[in-house]
Amino acid sequence: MRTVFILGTAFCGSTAFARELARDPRIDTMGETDRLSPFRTWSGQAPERVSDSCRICAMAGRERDCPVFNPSLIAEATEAGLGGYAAVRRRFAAPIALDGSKNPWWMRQVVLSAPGLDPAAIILARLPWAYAHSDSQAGGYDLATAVVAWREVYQGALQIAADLGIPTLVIRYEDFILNRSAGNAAVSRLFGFTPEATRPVAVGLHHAIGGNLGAFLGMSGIDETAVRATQVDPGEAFKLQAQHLRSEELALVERWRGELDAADFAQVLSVPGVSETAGLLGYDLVRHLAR
Amino acid sequence: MRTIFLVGTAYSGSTALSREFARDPRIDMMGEIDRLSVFQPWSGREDAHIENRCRVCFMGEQTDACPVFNGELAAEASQGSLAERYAAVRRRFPAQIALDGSKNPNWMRSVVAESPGMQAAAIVLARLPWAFAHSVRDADGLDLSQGAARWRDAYQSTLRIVADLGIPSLVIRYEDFLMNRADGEAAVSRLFGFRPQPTRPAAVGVHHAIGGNLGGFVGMRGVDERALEKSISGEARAGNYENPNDAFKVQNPALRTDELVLTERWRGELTVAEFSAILHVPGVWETGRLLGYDLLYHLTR
Repeated sequence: MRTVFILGTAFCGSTAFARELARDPRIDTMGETDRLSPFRTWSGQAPERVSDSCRICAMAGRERDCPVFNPSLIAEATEAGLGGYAAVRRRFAAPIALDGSKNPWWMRQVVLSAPGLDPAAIILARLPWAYAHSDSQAGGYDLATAVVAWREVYQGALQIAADLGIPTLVIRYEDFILNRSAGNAAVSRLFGFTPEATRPVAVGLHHAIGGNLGAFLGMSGIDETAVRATQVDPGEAFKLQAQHLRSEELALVERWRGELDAADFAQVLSVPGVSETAGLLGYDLVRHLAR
Repeated sequence: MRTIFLVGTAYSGSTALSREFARDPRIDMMGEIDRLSVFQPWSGREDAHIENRCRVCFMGEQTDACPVFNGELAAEASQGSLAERYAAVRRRFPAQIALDGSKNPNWMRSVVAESPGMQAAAIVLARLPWAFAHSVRDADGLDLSQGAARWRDAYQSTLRIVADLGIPSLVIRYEDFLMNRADGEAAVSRLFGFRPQPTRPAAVGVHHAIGGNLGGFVGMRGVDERALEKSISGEARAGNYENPNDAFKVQNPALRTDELVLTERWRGELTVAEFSAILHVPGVWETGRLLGYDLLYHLTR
């Protein structure tokens, strides 16, 4: 039973990525477990981000019937403290469970408290311009301030994964979308098998805490009208559902490309450590700028 | 069949660590494959570093009888693409995991990029910057700052190439591995899928490897110790630093801090100003953090 922590920034595509991998029945997605209220002491999540109900079941109006995230689990986890993480993991039967919290400091606490966990990490990277654009729009920050958070999260992820001594794989979201066979080959080296999409994406089969609503569009059984009313980004689900997305198609769903100008690109890169961090994530920024 | 590349700097303990892992019959050490002459166009190794004979068999005076690194392999590996040549070497090692101790990330990039079906992974084997700078000063005459810059560039490059290739990697800090074997073996088991069990002897005839630190072979059954000593002193005369303590260190599963310190010559030979000079080289401290080092702890230990 392996637990694979997805690490990265907000807006890095973790929900859609985990949803896609969980089409293989050997892989379950647990969502952002650091949002569960029993773990707030360790996760440091703000009160408005804490959630104990399954987002997938909620989108079908069935959160009270969720067989995983229910009062019984919350009570068990509350009693056990951080040790309650094992109770959450036990609710997922697949040999690999994905924790989409993206939070390297959360991962550190969980791994240190659970020596038998068999953890691994996927650092899910997104281009600094994409993150800075999304974060500046969501939080009203300027691009330079936003990209500092990008640098801190990825530097933290690399340092913590090295410190903990856990196998780590870097997946660049854009490269994964543009070359799925190479992306799947990389994932197979960590999982020991190539994921096969044999399980439907449907309410009742998956259960997860939190996650980007846009990544759930197209899931069988959800109330699409209610989801679209929340102003989600429908590009998320589209990107991963397309097995052979071409560069020009990707560009269409990457709003930041059309909305940032040359001065914005330069501003992001002028922040100390940003280009170096991108290099550590395997990015060829020149290629992405020229694309 | 998985191939795990050990990547890092020289003097990072790769020979001794490989030898220790290969005591589990599910793990074979292949040594520094990039030294084989058939790979010189890709490895860029200097002529002086090329080696085609098995070092283990050589130390047991059985070079001509090596069943792996022999004329047959040389002929097979001298034809075809890099992937085909490398596969010919890998096939000679039957264990499910084979360790390539070349430590050269650019070599790993060439092999992995040209071998799409290879189940590749990497162990980034780290050594403290002071240890490396001290060793390279002794061996190559570089001043400590130049040595630290070389250390920084090697690990920065290693981390970038591992990320670019999309292969799982695990960072092992050699000093931490020695001082806490249980944690080190737990980390390795997460990459290997099992905890290494030392059920096979470290002996000539059992293992076959290209290159490697002579000190890592001390105590191996069947090794002609006098010939080994002669080789070590010859290497030392030639300016190649070799540390016979390497084998001692990994053979002791419960090495105490004070014992480890005894085997770390750099601790006694570097001054405070020299420690400081190494840390002042841009990027050294940050690179140490990326490798998971708590440098303050190691400074005050």
